[in-house]
Amino acid sequence: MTETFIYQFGIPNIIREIEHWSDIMQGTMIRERYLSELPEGKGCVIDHIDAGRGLARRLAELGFIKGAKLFINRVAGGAMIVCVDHQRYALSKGIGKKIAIRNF
Amino acid sequence: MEDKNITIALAGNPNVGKTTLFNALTGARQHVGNWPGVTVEKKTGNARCKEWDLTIVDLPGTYSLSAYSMDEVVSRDFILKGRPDVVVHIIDASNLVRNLYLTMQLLELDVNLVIALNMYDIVKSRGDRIDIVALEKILGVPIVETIASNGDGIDNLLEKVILASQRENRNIPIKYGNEIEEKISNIIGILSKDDKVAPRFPDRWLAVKVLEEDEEIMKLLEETDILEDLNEYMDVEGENSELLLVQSRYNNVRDTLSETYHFSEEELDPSDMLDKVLTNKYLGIPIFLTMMWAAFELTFKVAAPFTYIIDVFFNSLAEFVSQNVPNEHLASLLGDGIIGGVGSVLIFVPNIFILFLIISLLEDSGYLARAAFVMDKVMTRLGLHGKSFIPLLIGFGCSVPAIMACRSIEDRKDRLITILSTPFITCGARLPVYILLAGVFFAGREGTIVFTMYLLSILMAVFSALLLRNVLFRGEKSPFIMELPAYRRPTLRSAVIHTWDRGSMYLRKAGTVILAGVIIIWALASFPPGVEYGAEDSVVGMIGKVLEPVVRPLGFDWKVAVALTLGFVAKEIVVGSLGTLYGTGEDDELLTEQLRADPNITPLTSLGLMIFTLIYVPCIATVAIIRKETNSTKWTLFSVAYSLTLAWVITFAVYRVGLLMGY
Repeated sequence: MTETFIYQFGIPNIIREIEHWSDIMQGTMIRERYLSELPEGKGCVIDHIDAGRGLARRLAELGFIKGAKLFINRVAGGAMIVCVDHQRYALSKGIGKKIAIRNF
Repeated sequence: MEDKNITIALAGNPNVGKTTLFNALTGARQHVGNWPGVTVEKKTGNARCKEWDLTIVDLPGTYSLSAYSMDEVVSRDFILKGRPDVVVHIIDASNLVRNLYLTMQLLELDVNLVIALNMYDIVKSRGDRIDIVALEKILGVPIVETIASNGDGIDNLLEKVILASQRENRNIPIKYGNEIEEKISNIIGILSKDDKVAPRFPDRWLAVKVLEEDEEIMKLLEETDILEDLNEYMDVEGENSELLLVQSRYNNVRDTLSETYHFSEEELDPSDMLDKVLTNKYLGIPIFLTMMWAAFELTFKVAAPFTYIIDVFFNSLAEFVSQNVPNEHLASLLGDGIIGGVGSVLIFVPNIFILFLIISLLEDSGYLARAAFVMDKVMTRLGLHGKSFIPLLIGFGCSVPAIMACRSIEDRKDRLITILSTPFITCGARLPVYILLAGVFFAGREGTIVFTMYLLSILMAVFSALLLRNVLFRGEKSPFIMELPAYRRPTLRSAVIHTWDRGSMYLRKAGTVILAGVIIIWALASFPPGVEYGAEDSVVGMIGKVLEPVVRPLGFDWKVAVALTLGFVAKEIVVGSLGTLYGTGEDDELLTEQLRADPNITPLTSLGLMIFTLIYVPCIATVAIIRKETNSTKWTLFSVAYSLTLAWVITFAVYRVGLLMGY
């Protein structure tokens, strides 16, 4: 059975097939990463913020906007110290879960 | 030359030295009140410069001028409707990005702006450089360097302000992207058709607020007939236009700064290094507790001689009055009532001022914000907020400043929970009650008993916080975001100003509400005429008799009821009034004997009395300050009823269990 299978499709075809599926898999696997997942001493860039209007505005007004560069100074218990524009803020992890990031 | 008036508004972010600058400008000539209809404090002051009379209004510290909080609404309403001649925007030079964000909004408000670039010394010490001339040019606003904490640059600032008040406003409003600009001009076109709302605001600003869907403005526009036309322009493809606007303002700020702000090469920020230690996972909490312990030690050690002097002063004054005022009633009113009562409140002044001074120093240094961060996890578990820790701690000294310290908690729910839980923390005034009763009934074990009371008070505060959080204030906890300012060396000058700001309120209370309270209690204890102070046939004695059935299940008789009623003035009065009721006066030894001899008071009831004293209604001063800080009679009455109920229930439980166990 197996032999005919390989014979029928040819090894190059199978490899192509695997590559194709793995691309699709990766596409679905690459999920959003959030600020709360990063360890101390890492930098990143804000991709977007998944928060309600009030919190999104509050964060934006403090400088947490799309494209802003963040640096995580400290993670301790339920909170973290994050640096944006040379200004430090203490945030709860709950807020960190709403800040989607890239380039970490 | 005729005197001329100029009105100046001070705007700025929180923690930029606004209060310090306000005090430097106005000195003692200031007036504190409330903005109409809201709890936000309004401070106005006066200053003179040459022939100019300046009225200076301190706006609340805000990060923005949207309608997000009461503070923001108050600030922008004053700028729009109060039409100050000049708005001075105080900027923390060490944190320009976020500060200039507010500048961008002020520019849109079409006001005569002057920027006070405060804390410029920090920028210099970091080795950074700001090209002020270029910044002035880009923003079209005069900029003055100031160091409010030592008064540098104040004269220069006043001169620029007067100059600015004389010129036409030349602000350059910021430009948003093409797409948004097009919408803005369309909206301005529609707004021009309206004659009800639009004429009251600057065109461009109003258009921007419409794009932001600002709550206050949209409410106003609902009454007009242009709302439908506006709706068409409000959404920018798929994106929240409000966030887009914030974003473009920030981009503007960043562009401006890339031309004017030069960072030094230095990579190591001393604040980061300090944070590594002070917010360390393992060291953070021990360091914090040590600091707080030291603060308390220092407070009570330093305050002790002052407290003693005040005590001696009021005692001898009361004695002098009662001996030298011929009319017996008047002498009693002055001596027992006013001097005794006010004295018992003023005795806490040294403690309060020194504690506030230390806390102001810690706050100015930037440490206090870290303390809230360090304590947040623990406090969250207890249904509180990281910032609740400081009020609770101050509560061990006195509930009044503790409740005042709740102001730093922004969220109303968190603040109310903390305000309502703080009075359960046993304050200094309750200690004499424990000491006396524990000494009488638990001789040899006083330390354990007093310690147990302290422990119980912490348990009560935590229990109350959890109860309130889970029953009355359910729902999601407010997200915790807090600015951590750069560490800096605190100056005595600004710490003293802050201390006076807070402490003087306590003094004012002592002069008004508390005075009225002690007179009422005195009258209750002295009438009808001819009775002994607080005796069985006085009004308060009758009240005690009326209350007796209520406290009977707790094992208390009418004398205890009277003592507890009088303790409403200040809790340590419970001891003094027991002295009066047992006819022993100030003689504690005699009182001890009498109490031991009284068959109505057993060790168990004395324990009950201690517990009741711990939990029941905070004193008049605390009630007054709760009223002031919550601005709500409902919550004040709730606090009174809640603590009375809790005191009764818990004392009852302890008493009954004790009886069952055969005590």
